Amino acid sequence: MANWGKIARRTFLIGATAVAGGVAFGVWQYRRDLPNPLKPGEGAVTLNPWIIIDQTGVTLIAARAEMGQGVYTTLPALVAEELDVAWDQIRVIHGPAAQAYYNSGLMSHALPTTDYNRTAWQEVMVEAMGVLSKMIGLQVTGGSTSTLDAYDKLRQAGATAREVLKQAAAQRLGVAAGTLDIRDGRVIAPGGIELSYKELAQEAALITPPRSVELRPASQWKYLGRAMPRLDMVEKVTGTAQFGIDVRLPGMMFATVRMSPHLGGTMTAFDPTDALAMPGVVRVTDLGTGIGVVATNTWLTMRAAEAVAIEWGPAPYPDSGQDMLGVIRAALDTPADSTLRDDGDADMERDITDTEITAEYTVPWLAHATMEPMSAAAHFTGDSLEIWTGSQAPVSPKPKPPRPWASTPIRSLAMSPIWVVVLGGAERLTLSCWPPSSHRPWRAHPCRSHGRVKKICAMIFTALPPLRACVAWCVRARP
Amino acid sequence: MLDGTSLFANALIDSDPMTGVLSVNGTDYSVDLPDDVPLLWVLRDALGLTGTKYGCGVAACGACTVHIDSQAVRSCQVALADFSGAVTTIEGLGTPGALHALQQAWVDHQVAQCGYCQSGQIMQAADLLAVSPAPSDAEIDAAMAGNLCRCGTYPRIRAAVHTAARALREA
Repeated sequence: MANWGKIARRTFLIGATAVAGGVAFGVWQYRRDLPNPLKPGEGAVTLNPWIIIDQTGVTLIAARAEMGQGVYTTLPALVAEELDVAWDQIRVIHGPAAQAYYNSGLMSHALPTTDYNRTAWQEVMVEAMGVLSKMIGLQVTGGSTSTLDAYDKLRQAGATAREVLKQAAAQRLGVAAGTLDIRDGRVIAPGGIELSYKELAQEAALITPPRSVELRPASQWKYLGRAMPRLDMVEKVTGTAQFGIDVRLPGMMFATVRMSPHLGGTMTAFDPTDALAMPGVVRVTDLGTGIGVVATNTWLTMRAAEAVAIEWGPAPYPDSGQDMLGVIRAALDTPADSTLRDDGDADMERDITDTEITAEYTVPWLAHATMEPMSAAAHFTGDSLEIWTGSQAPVSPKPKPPRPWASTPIRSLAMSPIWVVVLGGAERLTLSCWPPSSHRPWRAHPCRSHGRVKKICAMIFTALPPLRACVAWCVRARP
Repeated sequence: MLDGTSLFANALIDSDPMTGVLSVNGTDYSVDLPDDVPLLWVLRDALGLTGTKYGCGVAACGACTVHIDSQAVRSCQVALADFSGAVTTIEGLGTPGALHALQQAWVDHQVAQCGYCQSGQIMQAADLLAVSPAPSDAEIDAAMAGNLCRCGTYPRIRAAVHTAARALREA
C-alpha cells in the first residue's frame, strides 16, 4: 500500500502539472517552502508562519476566518499544546492573506468520497489532493475543515518550535537538549535555571529546525479535548473586537453601491443631480450596471443612493421566483449529464422491498442572512489596492495591479463570501462579490477632483438583491 | 472637546450642517452632520465608536442598541434631532480592563460565538437590570426578545443575565 501510494502520488503530480497547466508548480514548487507572509520586524524572528516569538513574547497566528465557530481559539490551542504556552499568555492575531496558509483539508475533502470507509485508491487521492492544495495555495475557511487541516500541521509547528528553543537553550547553557524541560513559555534546565522563549528567540532563529518531531501523546494534553475559554471573548463583550465592518483608516470616506436588482441586467440611464446636492456627498460613480456613492458618512451614502434616479434594464432570467422554479424543474427533468457516484444496483434493491417512497422537496431562494452586512474597506495608493473585509477565501481572486478589478474571472466567484461574520480587521483581502465593471471607479480615482481628499478609502455595502439574482443566475446556467 | 467628525473624514460638508454637542460615554463631541442622521451612524462613522453594530438598520435585530439617559434604544432609529440626552455605548459600559458585571458574566458563561450581536444584547440586558434587579426567566426572555443572535446563544444569555443580576445585587 505504501509503495503503491508513492507511485500514485508521483504519477498524480506529473499529471497535475500537465492538466492544471502546472508548469509554474511541479515538484520543486511543492518542496519549496511557501513565502513567509509575516515579515517580522527588527528583533523578531519567525520560526515558521504560524508562530512569532519576539521580544514581546509569543504570538500565534490564526489564519482562518473566525465566524463564531471558535477557530480563533482552537488553532492557537493546537500550537500551544506542543509549544507549551500558558493559556493566559497566548496572544493571537489573524493571519494576513497568504498562500502559506493553504488548506489541504478542504481539497482532500472535495473528492466524492466519505470521510470514513475509504478504499485504497481513495486514500491516495485524498493525500494527493492535499499536495495539490499546497501548490495552489488555497487559503480557505469552509467545509468544516479548519481543525481537520490544522490538527497535525499546527501541532507539528508547535513541537518544532519547542525543539528549536530547547536546542537554543542547550547551546547557551552548554548542556544536552535532552536534559531540558519546558513549561509555560520557559525552557527549564537542571539546577533551576529558567529561560523564557523570548530570551531565546534570536538564537533560535539560527538553528535549523529538525525534520521530524515527536508530538505529545493525548494523555498529556492540557488544552486539546477540553472546553477552553475563548481567546476572543473579552473583545467580543466589550465592543473592542474588530469585525470587517469596523475597519477605520485615516481620512476614510464611506461608500455604498446600488446595483441592478437583476444580475446581468443593465442600467439604461441614471441621473445623480439630486444626490449630488445632498449634504456630505462627494461623488456618484457609474458602475455600468449600477451606481456607487461616496460621502462622509454611511447614512448619507445610503440616502444619496436612493435619491439617484435610475432606469434599470430587464432581467435576463424569469421575473418571479415561481418562474425561476419552472426553469429549474425543466432542467431537473432532462436526463443527467453526469454521475458523481454510481454504486450498487437500485433496481435490484427495489426487488427486495415493496415499499417505495416518493418525495419532492422545494426550497425558496434565500440569501445567507448575515448579522454583519457585507462590507469592505479599501485603500488605493495609485499602484496597489489593499482591501480589508471578512472573507473565507482571501487569496482568491488575486488582483493584478495596476488594474486590480479589470480581470473578468472575478465574476465567476461572485458567490463565495456570503455569510461571513469575521473578526478579521487585520486581514488584507480581496473582494470577490463584485461585477467586473467595478474597476472603473478605482481607475478613475474618484475623489481626486476634490482637492482636499488625497486618497480614497471607502466602505462599501453591497445590497442583497444582486446576490439573490446571482443565485438565480447560477442555477439557470445549469444546462 | 473632541471634534469627532474631523477624526475620520477630511471632506467638508457642503450644505445644511447641524453643529451640535453630543455627550457619549461622558465625553462631549462636536458633531457636524445633518440632523436626520441616525445616532448609529454618528457613533460609528463620525466618532469611530464601532462597538455599536449595524445589523439591519430597521430596528429588527437589536445589534445597534445603546443607552440614552440609561434607557435602551435602537440607535439606527434615533436621529440626531430626536434627543438631547447622554449616550452610553458598549465602550462606556465597561472596558477589557474593567468589565461591567454583565460583561464579566458574559465571559464566565462564554456567551459570545461570532459576537456581532453581543454589544446590543449586553446593552439591552443592562437596561433590564436597571429596572428589574432580579428578573425571572420570562422577564429576561421578554426584555431580550428584540435582540437577535444568529449563533443562537440565547440560553447562555439568559444564564449570564441571572449571574450578572446576582453579582449586582450582592455588590
